[in-house]
Amino acid sequence: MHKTFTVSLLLLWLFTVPALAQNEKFKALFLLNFAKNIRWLEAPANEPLKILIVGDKTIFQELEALSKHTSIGNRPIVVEHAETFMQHSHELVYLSTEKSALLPELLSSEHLTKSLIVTDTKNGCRAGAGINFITNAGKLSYEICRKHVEQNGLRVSSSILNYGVQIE
Amino acid sequence: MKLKPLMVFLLLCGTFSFATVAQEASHSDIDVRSLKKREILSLSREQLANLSFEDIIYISGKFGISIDELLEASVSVSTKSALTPRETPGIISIITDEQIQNSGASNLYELLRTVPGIYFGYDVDGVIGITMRGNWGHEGKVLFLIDDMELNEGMYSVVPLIKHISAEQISRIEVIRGPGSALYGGYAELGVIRVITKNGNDLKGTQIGGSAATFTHGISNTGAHFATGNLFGQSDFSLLATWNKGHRTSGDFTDFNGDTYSMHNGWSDTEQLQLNLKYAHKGFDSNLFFSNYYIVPTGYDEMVPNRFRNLLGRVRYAFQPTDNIRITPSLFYKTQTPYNFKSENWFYQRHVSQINGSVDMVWQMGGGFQLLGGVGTRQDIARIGKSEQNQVGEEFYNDKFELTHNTVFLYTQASYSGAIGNFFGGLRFEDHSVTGSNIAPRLGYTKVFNRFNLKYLYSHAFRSPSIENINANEEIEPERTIVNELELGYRLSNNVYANVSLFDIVIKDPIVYSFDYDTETEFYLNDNQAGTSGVEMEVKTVFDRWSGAFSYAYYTAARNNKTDYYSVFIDGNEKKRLLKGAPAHILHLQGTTHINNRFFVTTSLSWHSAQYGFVTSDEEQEKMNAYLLADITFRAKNLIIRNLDFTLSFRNILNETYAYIQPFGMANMAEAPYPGAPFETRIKVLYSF
Repeated sequence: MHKTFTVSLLLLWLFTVPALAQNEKFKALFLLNFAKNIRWLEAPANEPLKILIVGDKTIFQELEALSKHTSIGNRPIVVEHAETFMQHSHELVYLSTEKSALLPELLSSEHLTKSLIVTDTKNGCRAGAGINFITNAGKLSYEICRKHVEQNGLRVSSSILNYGVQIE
Repeated sequence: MKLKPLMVFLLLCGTFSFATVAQEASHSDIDVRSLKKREILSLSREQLANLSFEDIIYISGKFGISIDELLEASVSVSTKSALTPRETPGIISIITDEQIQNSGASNLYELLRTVPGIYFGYDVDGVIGITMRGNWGHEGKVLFLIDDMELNEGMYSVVPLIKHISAEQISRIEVIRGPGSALYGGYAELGVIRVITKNGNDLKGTQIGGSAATFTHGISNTGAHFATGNLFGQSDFSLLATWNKGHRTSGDFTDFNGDTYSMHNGWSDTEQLQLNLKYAHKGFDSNLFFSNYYIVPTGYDEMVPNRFRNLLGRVRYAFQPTDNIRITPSLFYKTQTPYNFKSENWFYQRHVSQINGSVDMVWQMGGGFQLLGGVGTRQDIARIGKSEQNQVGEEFYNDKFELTHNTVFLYTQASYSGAIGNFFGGLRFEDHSVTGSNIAPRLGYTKVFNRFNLKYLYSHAFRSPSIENINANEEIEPERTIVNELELGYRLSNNVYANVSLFDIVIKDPIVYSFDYDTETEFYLNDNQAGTSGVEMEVKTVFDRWSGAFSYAYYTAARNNKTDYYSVFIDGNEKKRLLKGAPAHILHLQGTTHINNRFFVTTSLSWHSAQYGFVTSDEEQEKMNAYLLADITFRAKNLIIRNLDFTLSFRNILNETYAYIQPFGMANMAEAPYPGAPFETRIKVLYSF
């Protein structure tokens, strides 16, 4: 009886109702802020800033919903989704973890020579990405390779550099 | 007239309050630092989209990781090159730093208890060893790595568990629950346990701690811990020291000879000192690990410690001659004194050292192709200590007090990652100066389809005979194993991931241990086929304030085991599905609730089905009842003063009686099951600065 009672109490405690995690939401928020904190190449006024999400549809949906409420200067944000890389120009391309194998294709694409590539895989920056999501002490963070970003003619704000882990 | 001032007042109040609401709704400068988590979660997308980057960084730091981060955290144990757990060619379990700290576990054994398919059995002389998927893996069948240095001792190739390898020093554990011989060689036949200890980056300062624990009969353990480390530019330095002393169990224990031992009065004593020094600079890293561990076994007229000493050291340097090639030469040395025992009727003092030089290479070939490989040579030197020479005088099989074995090895693995999946093919070749050559090939396919993932692995593995195996039987041959594994995983939501894995293990010519108590001689032989097949299931959940894991492991030996040493016979009838000492079913349930950022409660339930073997006598095998272990741990961070951590843990709160059966014992040679620990209360204090 005592044993049953103790086990029941433990089980009850074990299954305390949890709250929902916000991981995709944060990745989308980070991507939005990367877009805001990069000095993009000159573009005609009101021309949309195009972001491509390759893979993770949840991040796409979240970022698309967020982007309706803000803009980059006077440029609206357009978010697109694809399961594989489309040979079109985008200012920012996010490659989700399961699509990491596409990185070499992105890096060699003539459509992305002026773009920021963000990955979500181990050693993404070392493999050529400008920014790569990582987990640091259980929290979402990112690595940034200034060289990879600036070789595409983009400029990085000090806040992006300061909050991330810089990779040489 | 009197109503007029009241009306004006009400209108003013209404106007003011509406204005305030309107002003708040249009205000984008939300002070996120003043918001509670619940309030942050209720922010609208418009509000979130207009927060500053600094605010986003702040609030993301307040939330825990989701299941994605566990699934995408890279592991390298199964490839020597980082991949996500869903893609890596191995059936993997990971125990993170956060899980270790919240669990209340004090040593490696208690952490491994939560891994599906892992169990424990009784060896001899007070030593508890590992069982993997039902198979006794203690003697050289499971490779233990400490910071990628081989911990298995060289004479019998074991790692004694229970109160050995302190949890305080561990940052992370990666477990391959299947073979790893193709990459790691002859001790990785059934599994690889890779323990990664804390470095300067983990510590970033100094820690001082102490622990104490009690059984019902009194103090069961006391311990002290010191760690310091930091990053200095591109250098990482750390020094860790842990000491523990206590009893492993309590109460009275009666062995098969009818002798009774009071376990809380010295007969289960244990002590461990563990030192760990690490330095890394850019591509260079060096490690020095020392442990001195003893246990007091029963079965002797006097209390004599059975000692295990390990000193491991390694230097390696990783450099990149080109952007896509990494080469790592390394030099590893270890010297060990296992089962060091000095009593009137049993005297064992043998030292074994190993020097191992190797070069590893990883080549990212482009187009999704990767090639990795390595080549090396190893020399093992065993020596009978002066005390044993004088006391016993027995020589090795080569009629000397010293012997040398040499091994040359090379391994390679090619992989391709593309849209159709990840393909792996590799093999390892080893040539041992006494036991000859072994080749272990493996093939693997993994694929992540959004929420689904699939793995199929076909591996050959082997177990190299250890020095004492050869010493006891010069004709002994390596045992060879074929393993098929299939894993299906599915991410049910952002917070829940589940997987099922099937395995089939066939061990040919298993090396089995036997002991003749009449002549007091041990011997080894290659017996008939052994092995198991079965299923493991895991469900992992990570939420903002709660994380949990459920696992179930089942094995059957019905098709694969033909070795009587491992078989179960009850009333003369063989129970073909079972192996001695290993429960067919293990259920594990663990959950951690984050009360807030400072307080955590972790509960754990582990149920083990009935086990069979020599339980009350060494003449007839019997059933030992199923048992349930329940633990609860309370952890508080920044208690009273900043950076003071306090942990209160209650272990085996149901006070279940259980014991570890000897998994290999035969009639008239088996030893009595070793009793597990009863209800225990522990406190641990850790201060960081």
